[in-house]
Amino acid sequence: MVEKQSKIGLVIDTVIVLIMLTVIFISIVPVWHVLMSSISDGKFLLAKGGLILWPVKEFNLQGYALLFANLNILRGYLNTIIYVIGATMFGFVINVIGGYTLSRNTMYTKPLHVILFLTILFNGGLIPSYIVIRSLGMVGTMWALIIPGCTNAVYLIIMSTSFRSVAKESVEAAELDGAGHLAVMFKVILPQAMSMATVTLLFSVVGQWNSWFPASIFVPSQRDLWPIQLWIRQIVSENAGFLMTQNPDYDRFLIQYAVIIVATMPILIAFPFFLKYIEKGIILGGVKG
Amino acid sequence: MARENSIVADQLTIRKVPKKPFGVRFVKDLKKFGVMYLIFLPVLAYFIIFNYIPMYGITIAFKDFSIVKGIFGSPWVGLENFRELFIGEDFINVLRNTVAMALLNLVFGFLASITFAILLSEVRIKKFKRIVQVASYVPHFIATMVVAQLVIEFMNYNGAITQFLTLFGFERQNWLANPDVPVFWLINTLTDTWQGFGYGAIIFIAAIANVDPTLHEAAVVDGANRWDRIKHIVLPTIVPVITVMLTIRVGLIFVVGFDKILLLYKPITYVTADVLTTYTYRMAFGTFVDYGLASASGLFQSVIGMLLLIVSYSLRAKMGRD
Repeated sequence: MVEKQSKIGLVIDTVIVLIMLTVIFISIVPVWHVLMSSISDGKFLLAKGGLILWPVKEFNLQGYALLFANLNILRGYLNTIIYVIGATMFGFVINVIGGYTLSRNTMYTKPLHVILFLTILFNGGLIPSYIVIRSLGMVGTMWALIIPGCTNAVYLIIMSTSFRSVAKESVEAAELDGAGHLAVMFKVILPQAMSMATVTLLFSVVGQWNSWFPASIFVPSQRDLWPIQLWIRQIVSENAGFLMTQNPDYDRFLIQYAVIIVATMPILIAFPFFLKYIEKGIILGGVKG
Repeated sequence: MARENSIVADQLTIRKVPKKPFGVRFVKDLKKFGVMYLIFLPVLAYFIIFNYIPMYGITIAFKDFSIVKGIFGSPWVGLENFRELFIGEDFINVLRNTVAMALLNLVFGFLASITFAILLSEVRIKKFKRIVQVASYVPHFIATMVVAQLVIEFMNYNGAITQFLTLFGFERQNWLANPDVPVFWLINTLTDTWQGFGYGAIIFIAAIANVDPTLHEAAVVDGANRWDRIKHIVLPTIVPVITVMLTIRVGLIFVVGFDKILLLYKPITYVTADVLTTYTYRMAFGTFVDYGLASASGLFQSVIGMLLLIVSYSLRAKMGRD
């Protein structure tokens, strides 16, 4: 852009850059604070308070050592991974089959769309869903965290829209070659619509990784089934009590920071790599509404 | 005119090719798609089990529900649960808090995203622009559980934000234990805005980036300054996007974003922090379990949510026609 730089323009540019630097600061600093707290000296950290921009007193990894010595946490981590993979895969299969069925022009295309659309419009609410899931015998088991929340009608409709945009000729050619519906959906259509499918996969992975509410109502007392997110709450509340005791082990105080870092880092490290898919998904989703 | 023509064309095609009888179409459809329907059956079952059977479960709201008797066996009580809900002394508070926080989230969230998108579009250094944008997504990817712990950490008696606020003359305190009117609402809204501003801005940034650069150049040649360009080029471009996003968000305000409150409120702040979702949750999983009342309040919320969604959809359909 060719524009004469006036004095006022320069001032405004500077102000904008300053505002943007503030934006970076407030976006990043909370996690940075936790990261720095997690490698500080527990006793001095507790006394200091406020914003921690650098390890207090001295570099100390005891928090992580204690964290990884705790079998519950490792189990929670494993559980989270199981839920993420399980729910995402299960949901993906439903999305592909459902999206494919909706994308074909059959006698039932309209009624099926209505059936799905109604589930977006209206839901029974927390209690009826809970009662149904309990009567299926899922409460207190892993299945309650894998099956019920693995997908929803919005994903199916997104999927069917992107399947519809795949060229009809390739489908017809495959059908002439004698390919069945399963082969058509997974081998012909899906590879051509993979970028939108990836978007739904990523949303599911992030959502499942960060999910805590279903676990808190479906496996409230089964600690061996807790995902890592519930352990964050547990450790923080345990810490609140133990700090009242005489001569506490201050390194234990650090666990609450370490567990947040351990639970958050995988997503933060991974997300720059799937940025373009997320952005694309938002823009397409927004345009189509 | 064009629309009328297409209708006429449709009628012509219908007259030319008469529809085959239902039986013939049914058999042909089944021959071609029968296997697909079979594969689809589990998916249909999934939605029936997890979406439609719970819809039947809303009858609990009209029953004196007990776990022993089950949904079918519990006696009907008509609108008794709703009467109890609406005359309950908490209800007015809960409703007020729900509406207040929903509106605050909507307004703050939108303004933050739009302002951010416009300011970012004025940044000239491409690399810096990208860094800011990527950084602004970070809060969205942090789990609600972690966000809640961060809020507690920063807003307690010794927290960084509490300390920062003392610079402006605010009393040092644990802000999350303050039951005065706007305190919890603002904490919730600012947290929500922090989580969503960058992510919500993606669509506006994309819209602004689509503006033809020659428009800007022409405006500069005509002597337009930065403000003129924002007012006459950037804003008109994103207004349609804003309207669409606004209708989507209005449809969702009663549905999303309340799980944070469950992690942040405490009995002392119920008076300003309790919303329909949390109220329902406490009635169902709290100390005094009342499934009937919880279902009634859940149903109330679902119905309002549905009405808002219908309003939002029809608004968008209307805009699509214009």
